[in-house]
Amino acid sequence: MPPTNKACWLIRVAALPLLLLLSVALAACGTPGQDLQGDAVHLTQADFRLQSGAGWEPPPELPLSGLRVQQTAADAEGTEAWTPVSLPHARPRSLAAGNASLQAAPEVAWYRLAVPPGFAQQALFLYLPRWQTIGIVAVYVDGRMMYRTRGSRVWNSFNRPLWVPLGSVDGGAAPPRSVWIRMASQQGVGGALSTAWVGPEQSLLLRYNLRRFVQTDLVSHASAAFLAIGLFALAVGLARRREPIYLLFFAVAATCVLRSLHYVVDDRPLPVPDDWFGWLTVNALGWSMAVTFAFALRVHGKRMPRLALAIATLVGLCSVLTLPVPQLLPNVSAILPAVYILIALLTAVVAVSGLWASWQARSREGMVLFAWISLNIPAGVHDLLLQNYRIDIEQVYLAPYLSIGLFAIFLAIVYRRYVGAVHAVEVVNAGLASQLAARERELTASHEQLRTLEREQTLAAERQRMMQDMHDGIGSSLMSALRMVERGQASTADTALVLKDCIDDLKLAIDSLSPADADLLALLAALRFRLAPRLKAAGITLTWSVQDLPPLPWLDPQAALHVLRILQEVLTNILKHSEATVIDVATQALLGEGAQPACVVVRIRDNGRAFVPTMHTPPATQTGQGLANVRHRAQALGGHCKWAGWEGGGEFRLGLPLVRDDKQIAIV
Amino acid sequence: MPTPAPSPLPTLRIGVVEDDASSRDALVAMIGTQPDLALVLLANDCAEALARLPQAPLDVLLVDLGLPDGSGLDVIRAARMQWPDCSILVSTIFGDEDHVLRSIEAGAMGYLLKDVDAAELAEEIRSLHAGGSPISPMVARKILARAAAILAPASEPSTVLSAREQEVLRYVSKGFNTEETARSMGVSRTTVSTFVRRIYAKLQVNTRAEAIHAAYKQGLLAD
Repeated sequence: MPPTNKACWLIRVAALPLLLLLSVALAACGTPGQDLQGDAVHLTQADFRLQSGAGWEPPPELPLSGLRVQQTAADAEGTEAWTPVSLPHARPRSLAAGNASLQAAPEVAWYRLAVPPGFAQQALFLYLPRWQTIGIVAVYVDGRMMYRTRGSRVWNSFNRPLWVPLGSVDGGAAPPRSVWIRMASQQGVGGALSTAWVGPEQSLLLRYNLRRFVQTDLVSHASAAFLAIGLFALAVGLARRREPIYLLFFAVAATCVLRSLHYVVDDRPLPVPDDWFGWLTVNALGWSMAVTFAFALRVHGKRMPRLALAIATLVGLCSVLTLPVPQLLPNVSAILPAVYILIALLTAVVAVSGLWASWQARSREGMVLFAWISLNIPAGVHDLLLQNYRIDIEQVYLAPYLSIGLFAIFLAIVYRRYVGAVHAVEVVNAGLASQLAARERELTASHEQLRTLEREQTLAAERQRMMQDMHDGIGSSLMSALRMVERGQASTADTALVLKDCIDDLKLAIDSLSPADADLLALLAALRFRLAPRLKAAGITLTWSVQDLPPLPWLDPQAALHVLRILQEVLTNILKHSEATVIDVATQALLGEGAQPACVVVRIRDNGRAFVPTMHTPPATQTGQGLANVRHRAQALGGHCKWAGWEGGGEFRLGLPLVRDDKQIAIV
Repeated sequence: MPTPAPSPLPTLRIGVVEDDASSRDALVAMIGTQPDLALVLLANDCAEALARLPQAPLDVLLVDLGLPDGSGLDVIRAARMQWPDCSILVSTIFGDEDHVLRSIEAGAMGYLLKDVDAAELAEEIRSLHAGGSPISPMVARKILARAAAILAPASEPSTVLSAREQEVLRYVSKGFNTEETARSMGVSRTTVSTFVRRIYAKLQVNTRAEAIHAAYKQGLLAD
């Protein structure tokens, strides 16, 4: 299952029990369940009367006892006597009279609830699920005010259930007999009062808490969560400007919170003026619709520029015209219902256009989103009826729940986008990693190929060198021995000599293979070691006058064999031709001077006849061939050789460079 | 009771392990001509050599490395365990450092080039038994390089070459012979030979565990 589908599935699974819980809670609040009643008493009847000429502020204490007040009031007003009403009770709102200001005298309504006798000796409480009006509400228990609203008269705590302690029955005090509720309302807006409950705390608290949770707490908690998630989206959106969906998500969160504010206001005064608060909460609905529309454009991918412009203009105009600035429109409150109608229209347009576009784009997310948005219309009708006391006042406002659902859908969409993006990045990364690995493998393979090639070349060069050496050395020696034996000229001693030469040749070839680590002296030592028995047998004393030499980095096996063969040839010549009895081998390092580069010199002196080759030494002879070989090898090494005489006999010098010029080698 | 006439030279008991018939015959013939050398062991291959080794004590053993049924190194190790006083010479055509070093590690005290003549061969054998061990520049060089690679503090003192021993190796690796080395160091030839023997012995230490293992395998040591 792809991660996005999985996420969607999870959200659905999580949403199901939530909805279930919510419907159960709503049902529990909406209908009086007998099982919750316990020993509490549900009051569904009250006495009602209107009081004329009273002010806004409720008196802290009624001057007389309940009965007396009733009588006095009846005496004074005559016609305005108490009438029994059943709860919930509503005084209708008149749209025509809505212009009356809050400064005008209020319409004061009294409700009188009788507390039935017979409660055990314990603290009693009054629980009132809901009341609604624009104005002030006060609760009196046996003539003493126990509660009053203190906040704004408009944005009062109408959506909060009332919880008033009635005082204790114990301690010899008289039990509470009656509860009076004074509702001072703005002229024409009417008011409503739900049924009431009287009873001990443990019988009523669950009911009260449940209703408080459903009407306000859940809404405020959800708002806080919206805001937190919205701020996170804002941070993401600011970092990723190219994905406006995150900023739009923040805007949705903010407008949803603003929209829900008036459902959760409590008894404390508001930090902003009433009219600004109203402007904010009413227009937030329009704003959230506009933002939802913009968000939806990103969801279904359709472009609706004209509609977008129309919606933006309408919402903007609405926001400006309803600004609570006296110079702008004097009768803002008069047009507020019109605003609601406008927004309902807007909602319908957004929902229908969104559904259509989502259907066109086959966007399931869009369909779900706009199906939910279209629920705003029946819910709005429900809430409007509730606000105007046309339906049971104990119902719960649905708009906040639609906001919560909307937000959940938004959250799911953004979550899917986010998870999808992360997944896409992972896929891309995996692709990159595998590409990289493939490239690495290619590189390794080509590197390996190169190495193999190099190794093969080295082997081929080495093979060629050995072949050449065998051809020139052992091969030709063996051939000459064979010829001698074939012609019957060879004595056993001659044959043995040739074969010994062959073995010596082989030994030198083997010595050239062992790494000398650029040490020419090691090579000379090996040569001495090899030739010493022959020289000794020939009665020649070898003196060793070598000095330490600087390393010659170019001294590889091939170069080593060249050096060994040169010196072997020279020593063999001395042995054969010079009749010397002493040979001295010396080494010397010469520093570079001017054009002469630094070099090392191997000097071989003997006390026999000096051998100085002329230019005319015929190359066809064996000696001539040997000299040519020596010269050729010296040249191949980038060095030089020279035969000369000294006062005591013959001398040969081999000069070798410290550093070999590769270009020169290439030519050779 | 007649007392045996004192011989001018003590007789050296020689063993020969060689698979090449002509080389073997040459060796046997050479030993036969020398009054102070007596052939007490002659083997064609590894198995024969290992079987005959315990039969009689040896003073000098000549071993060829390339035997048809195994390596001469096994014979060298076995002989080393069986007759610790026996001087072992490995006979080689080229005397290349790889063969020589491996033989020395196995317990050989020197090597013999196969192309030397009979007189030289006898001389080498006597010299070896007298305590002289030949060393070639290439082998000296290799041992020096190895000594430089070993971190002295981490090694057993018995395997670390002394400064004098290293000095000997340095002279030899530069091509100086025993006389020249002895002169340069201000010591006798015998001393230089002693140094060389000690160096060889230290090379064997490194492989002694391996030798003991081999001896067990051959059944030469009781469990």
